[in-house]
Amino acid sequence: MHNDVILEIAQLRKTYESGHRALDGLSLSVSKGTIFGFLGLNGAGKTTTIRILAGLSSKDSGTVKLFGKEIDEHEYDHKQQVGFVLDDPLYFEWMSAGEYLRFVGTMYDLSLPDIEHRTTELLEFFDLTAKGDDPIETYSTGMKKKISLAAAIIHKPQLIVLDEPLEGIDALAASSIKESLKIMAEGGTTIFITSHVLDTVEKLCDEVAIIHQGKVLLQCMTSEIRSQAKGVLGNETYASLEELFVDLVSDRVKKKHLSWL
Amino acid sequence: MDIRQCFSTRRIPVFILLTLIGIFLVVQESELSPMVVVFLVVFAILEAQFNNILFRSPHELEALSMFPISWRRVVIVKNLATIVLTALLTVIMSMVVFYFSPKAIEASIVVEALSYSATIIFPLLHAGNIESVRAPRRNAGWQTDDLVQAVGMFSFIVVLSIPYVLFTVVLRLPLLNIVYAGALAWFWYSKSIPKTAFNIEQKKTLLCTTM
Repeated sequence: MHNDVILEIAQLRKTYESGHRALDGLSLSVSKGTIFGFLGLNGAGKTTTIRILAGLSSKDSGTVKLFGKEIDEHEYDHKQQVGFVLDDPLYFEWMSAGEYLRFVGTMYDLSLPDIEHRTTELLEFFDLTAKGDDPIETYSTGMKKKISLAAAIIHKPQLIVLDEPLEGIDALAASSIKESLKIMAEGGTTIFITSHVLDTVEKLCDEVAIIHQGKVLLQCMTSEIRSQAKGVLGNETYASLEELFVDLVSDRVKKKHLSWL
Repeated sequence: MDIRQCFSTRRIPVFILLTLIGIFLVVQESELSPMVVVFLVVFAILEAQFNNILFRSPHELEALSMFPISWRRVVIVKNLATIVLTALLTVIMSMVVFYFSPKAIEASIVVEALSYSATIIFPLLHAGNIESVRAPRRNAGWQTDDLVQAVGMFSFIVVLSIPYVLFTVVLRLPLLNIVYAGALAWFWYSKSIPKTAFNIEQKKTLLCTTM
């Protein structure tokens, strides 16, 4: 792992027109070659952060630095080095998987031999070769997720931003995806990942940030999370990240119960 | 991509329906020129291609926003694809309509059609670029908005036909059509495309968030 900071977010704020404050001074930094877990409840601000990184949402204030350079929503050069998988995958459903990957390769200015070679390999890797010529609209949710992931890595980016990449994917495919993410991180690629499956995050990620109501509550290496949490929550010992997460966030969320149970 | 999308399976019913309407119109005993029928059908098929360039599919704006490409390049490519599609569909529809037309078709009609289409295509692209940013439709198809846009487009085509009629019928100087089309092409390339790209940049995040 390296210490170069690839992604640095400082005091990011975003309030939607409805008045909902999605980000309230969010700050974090991600080092090169890290698999970084970005955790939070629904509505904590994870997707808004990712949409700002992708240029799909504007920020009200704060800075986002990618590869040491501050970016704004009108710039696009840095996207050559970034791959995105959003929670609601974006593709052209009338295309086949092969056509879509070739199209994405062209958008990233890859050479034709590279596009053909990588498309074939990616279809094979994600077990999509048999349906590679069918329109994406006929695919299952898991297959669509695989296509998004394949498109996000076809240009071999330095940073991959993944919003719930394993949701809806079968265990076998999830395992091979996790393995390939680890291999990519070892090669210097930085992975920024959100997931609700905390067990997966704990096993996969080198570092995590837990956010709540648009702010980072805790950011540390996964291996140090228990000792770090002691400073925040007192001298408690946690058996898992899930236990710690629930304790950290539940202090700030009104507990609910059903009167008839 | 736009050319491939235009000929995708889901659009076949639209093609068939509008072609049948075209055939119905041309077999009627009327003064309507077969070429007018061809243009009616072609522009009806391509209405969204002109007026809704950001959403040829529902997530297109977001998907394109994530690639390292300039909007200027996107607008140029999309507009060129629209020109190619207009030419392709005009040829295909002409073959169908001429086949069913009870009138004798003269060769000069092709030259006139080329000349006429050159005078209207660039203003149509310009107006379509403006409309695409002003009133984008995430799902274009058979809805009221689409009908309103189509009526607006055909009304605009009538207005755009005035210079052609003036140069060809009134002044009898058809070469002026070429000069006029050249000036419009220059305006489209040097003014309309950069302006549209700038407007998309300014409104992109708002459209992605609110639509």
